[in-house]
Amino acid sequence: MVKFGVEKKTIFGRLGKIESWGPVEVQNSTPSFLTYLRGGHIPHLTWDVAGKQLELSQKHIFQLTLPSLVASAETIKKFGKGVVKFCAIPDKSAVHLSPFDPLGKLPGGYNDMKSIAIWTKNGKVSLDVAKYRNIINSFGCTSFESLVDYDCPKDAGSKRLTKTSERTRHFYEQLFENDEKVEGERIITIGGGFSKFHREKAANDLGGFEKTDGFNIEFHDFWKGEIDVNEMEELVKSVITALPPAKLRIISGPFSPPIILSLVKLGVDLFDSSWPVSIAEEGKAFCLSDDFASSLNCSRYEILDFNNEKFADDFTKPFDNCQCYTCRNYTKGYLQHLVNTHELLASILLVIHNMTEFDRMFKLIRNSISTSEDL
Amino acid sequence: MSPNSEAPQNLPKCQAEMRFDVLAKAGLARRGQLFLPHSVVETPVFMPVGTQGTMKGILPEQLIDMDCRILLCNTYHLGHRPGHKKVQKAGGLHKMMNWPRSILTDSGGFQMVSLSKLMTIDETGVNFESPHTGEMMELPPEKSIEIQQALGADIMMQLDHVIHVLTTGDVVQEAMHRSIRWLDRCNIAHTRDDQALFPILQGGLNLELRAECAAEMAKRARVGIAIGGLSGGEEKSQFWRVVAACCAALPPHLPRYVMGVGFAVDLVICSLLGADMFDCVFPTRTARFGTALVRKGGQLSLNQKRFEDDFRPIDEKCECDTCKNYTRAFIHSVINKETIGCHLITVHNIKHQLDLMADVRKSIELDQVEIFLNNFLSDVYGPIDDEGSKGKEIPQWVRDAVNHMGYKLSC
Repeated sequence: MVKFGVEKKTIFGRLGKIESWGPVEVQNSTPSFLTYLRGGHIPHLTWDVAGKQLELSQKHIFQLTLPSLVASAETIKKFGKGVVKFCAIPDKSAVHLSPFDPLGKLPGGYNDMKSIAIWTKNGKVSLDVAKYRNIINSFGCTSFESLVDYDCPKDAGSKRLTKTSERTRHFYEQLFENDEKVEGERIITIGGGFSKFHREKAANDLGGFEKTDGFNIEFHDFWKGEIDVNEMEELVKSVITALPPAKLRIISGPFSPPIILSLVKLGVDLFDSSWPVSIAEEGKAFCLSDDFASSLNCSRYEILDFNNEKFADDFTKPFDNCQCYTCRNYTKGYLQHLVNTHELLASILLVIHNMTEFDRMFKLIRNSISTSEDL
Repeated sequence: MSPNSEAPQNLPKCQAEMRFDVLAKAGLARRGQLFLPHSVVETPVFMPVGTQGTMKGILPEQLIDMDCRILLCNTYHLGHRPGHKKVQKAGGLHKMMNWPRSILTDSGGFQMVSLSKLMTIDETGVNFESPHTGEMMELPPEKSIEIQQALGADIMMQLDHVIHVLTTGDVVQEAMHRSIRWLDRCNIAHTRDDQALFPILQGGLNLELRAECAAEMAKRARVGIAIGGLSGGEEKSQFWRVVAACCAALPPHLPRYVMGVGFAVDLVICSLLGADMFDCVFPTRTARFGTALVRKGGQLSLNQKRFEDDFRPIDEKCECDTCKNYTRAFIHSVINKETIGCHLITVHNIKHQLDLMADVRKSIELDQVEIFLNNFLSDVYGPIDDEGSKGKEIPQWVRDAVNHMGYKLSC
């Protein structure tokens, strides 16, 4: 099981502790994040580089996203030693399997009664329960998310919403029917699109299942474009109030610092690191303002866009107070040169910095919660 | 630990202190040490190429883990982007790219000839079209040195008059003589004493011209010397003879750098003929196209479907991080999808080249060149049992070169 306890509740959000993730002892404080993986790696970092040059304040709990590996599912099964060994992920890591890639696409219109669609670089793959169960068992991750019919566009009528929530529930029950062996801890995914009613209903329906270690609030409709914060908050609230309060709550997606801050406030415990990776891939580095999270409204951050030629002549440290490998050893001017010449090293260095700063962000958030008054 | 914080050894600070010690000889081959301001280079050495001031996809620390001592950067590329003045402002190339060990920069001339559409050469220098602004620009020898001094590599190369290797007639001789005159101009322009300047032998495939050029340039060389104008599509039978003739014509105190050589067989044959330094983009470029270098048979294209379920490392005998941790099947699964596919093969290919040169050095040290050569050639050309490959014939030029060195092949 995932051993999780809530330690404190404030207007800032709640402080918790994950003692262990399945058999892996982690002792991580929340709010925190799952380390986003693609192809079984932190994008652009070989495990050698990640192990030696990326220093974070807590143990990794990896988010192994499936789309980049689903084409190799048969190979991994034949390999027989699990996905961790196949991808050379460090031994004895906590690894959480997610069917979706928060930086991938997820267009509507491709799910059916029996399966959901996930998208790889070579196109669509239909994932039904039997196939997913096979993957869960041959990958051997520490935990996994249940399948969800995520296809609930804003204009979906009540009939459609009812159908998708029935499917989601059916996928979950089917996964364990006839006492099928399913290895790993369970995280239940709650769908419901833009309907507060259906979000809440899903949380009520699925929240009571036994052997559930936490809940993942499916939120891909907010992965891209401008986010209507009020709308988002209303939806999350409707789910969270209906969930058992002692269980872990996860939201996956490339959310910027202010969005994360507002989700923390609502009681979300875990996010993922897809946002720092996505801006690194655009040639950008971020840095939080000095007063970040010092109060509920302090959510400012700065972005350096190394596509901008103004950095070409600037051979100073990227961020003065950052101790990451990139900031210790390289300059803005060099990063500009690497981005400008499309060198592979650009993404490597920017992922290292952005992951480090993202990690620091959660430390600041936890500090603010721990110094706030209890609710 | 940051590589820039590496403790400096007793490394030379000026040209007079840069020296080449021959530690052992076996036949024509030499096992040496070249003392440069940023590292001691064990020779024969292969220098990986980091064209734009980075080894593509690799951190300097990873190269240090492999004990790479020297790499090459391209003046032509760095002169355009970010520009030599910016590199100088960054504190030089070593500091900018966080590489504490030695660097060699080329003159920029070769790339101008191969990359510029409009290019002319006259006595003043090379005239070429800028790939970015489209305007015609001049590169006289003095300018090449000015740029290279701003970059600050341990070894600079003279600007030479590059002609296609298959050119014949008076042009070859003229280009050779002009290269000598340009060397004199480079030497005058060369003012930074913490950088060495290597002349580049020209003379095409004409062994007499090569000998004449060697005699003239050796007089003007202080730390080392290069053999240029090869690896441009000439017959291998001519290639090795030119290398052999140049090595024979050069005095022993200068390390000999054969430019643009990177295939395993070429590296081994040239080393055994008496050459000491090599560079080529091949191992790193081919890695990015999914090709891994291996002892048996030479290369694996990991894109191929046959590697889908192949759970062996790229090379069973290789100790690189990739081979210790990853299977061919995994690399196959991420190739062309994730950049780490390139990174993993690049790490392996560089380590493979460095290991090959370490084996060459050991065989010279132990005076076991003939045994090494037989094993090496049977690995490259022999049958590969687990792939059902019957192997290939050892090429005649290899046999001729081996014969010239006085070794016997058992296969």
